Amino acid sequence: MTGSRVTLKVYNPTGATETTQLNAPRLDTLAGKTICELSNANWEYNRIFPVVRELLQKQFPTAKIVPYTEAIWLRPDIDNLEHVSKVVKEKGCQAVITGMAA
Amino acid sequence: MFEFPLEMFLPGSDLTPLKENIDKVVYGLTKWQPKLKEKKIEVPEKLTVEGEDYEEAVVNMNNLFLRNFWSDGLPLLPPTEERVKRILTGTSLSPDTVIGKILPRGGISTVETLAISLAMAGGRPEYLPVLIAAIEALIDPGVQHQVLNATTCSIYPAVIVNGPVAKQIRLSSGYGCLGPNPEYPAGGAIGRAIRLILLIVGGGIPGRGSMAIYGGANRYTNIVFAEDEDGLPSDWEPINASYFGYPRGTNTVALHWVSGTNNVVGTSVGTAETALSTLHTFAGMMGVTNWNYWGRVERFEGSPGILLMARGTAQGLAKFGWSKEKVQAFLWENSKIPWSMIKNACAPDKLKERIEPHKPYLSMNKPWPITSKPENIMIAVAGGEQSGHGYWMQIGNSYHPTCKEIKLPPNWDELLNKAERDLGPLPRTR
Repeated sequence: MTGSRVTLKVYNPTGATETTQLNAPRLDTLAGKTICELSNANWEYNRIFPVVRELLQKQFPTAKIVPYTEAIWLRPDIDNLEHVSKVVKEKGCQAVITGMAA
Repeated sequence: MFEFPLEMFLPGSDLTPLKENIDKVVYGLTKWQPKLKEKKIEVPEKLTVEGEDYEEAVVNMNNLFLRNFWSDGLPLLPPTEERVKRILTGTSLSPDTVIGKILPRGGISTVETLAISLAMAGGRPEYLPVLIAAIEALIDPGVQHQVLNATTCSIYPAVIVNGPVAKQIRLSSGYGCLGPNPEYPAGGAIGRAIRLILLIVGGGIPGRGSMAIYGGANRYTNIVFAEDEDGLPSDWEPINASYFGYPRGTNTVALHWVSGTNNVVGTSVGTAETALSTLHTFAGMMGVTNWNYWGRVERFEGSPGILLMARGTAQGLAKFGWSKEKVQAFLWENSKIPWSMIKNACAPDKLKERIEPHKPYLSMNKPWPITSKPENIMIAVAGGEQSGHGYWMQIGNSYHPTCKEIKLPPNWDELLNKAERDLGPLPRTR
């Protein structure tokens, strides 16, 4: 005897999502580029950034890496985005590494 | 994208995973390509879940939602079209009315999205206007919910409802008003719906979108209650009037994020002496080294927390000459933390850093107030009539409290009549 199955049609509870900004285009290489560090002073930033900096510099000796201690000590919160953008442009950054968990 | 292990970001961690995978950082800056190539809005499709019978279908739906992290871990009612449509009778707003984005995930909350969460939480249509106002309050820019839904602080919204709507929807202002109550079921359902929205739409999943170290037992239903406006002393305004300036009698939702809740024993007021001792007891609970009090300028100039006192306490204080403003002034002065406690609980090199943004209120060698001025202390009257206990809900890394008006639909009386048919007459117990 064939039993009939019950079907429930339910809403997806997650809500719509909107893509308002696309990711910046990637660089062809890091050689000769200026890379800025953006720190929110959390989650072992003071240990992790120096390691990333050292390793990248070793691999790309002609890259210029602007450390987070050099006037880009910021919380990249929503209310600071305009200022972050201004400073990053002033420093001539072509890429940013943001950390941690920000 | 490559995911470094969470342990790597903890104090004293081993950074070998970083050293061994630096090429992933290079890849992220050079060759990685995003999946999303165009700006657009994506609306998720409805889902179909099957089972041998209705019971199995519901179990399967809950299992699916758990696997997708669309849940608070407790059983959910299925958000079927029928159930959600019934909830939507609680508003005259169209279902696609956008309330706002819930961060950090950025899911768009429409009226329908809120109705879905309320349906899953076991809510009723007449709760929807309150939920809409609560979410409007939650996403107010001053509240900074994008921080609070993701922070390491175990923090959650406390929602106070004022106006006639509170009694009408069976929201408690009396005994056990902050906890479960079958006679006053509104608070639990609305609070749970708020949590589901923060988790699912906002992505505040523990250890993933939310880094709250403990989360907190109150997070399941947050805190949603009514002020006991009938129990207010005659010269005390309800909190939506005294703190937020609404005319008395306006239906409103006030919201502030809190991290701690303390039951304050010894708040019965029968004499001038017990009035004073009660105030000192409250002040003692409030005056602790909660570093969040002085964490940011917005916090220090916002509210340090919400003090609840039951009607007997409030009326007793008023009888002995304590206006709400006098109570605030007393609590502000007497909750100042002694310099010795501050000095002992703070690393010396951090002291100046903490003082600097809050000058002239904070200085070395003097007691520290918990907020910049007395009127910042939120006081509401609620709780069981016996009044022997009060409640202090201190802030976490909260920002500003806010208050929004509740808008009722034209069919409001019809909804309340249906509630009476379903649940019986309005409760008489407090």
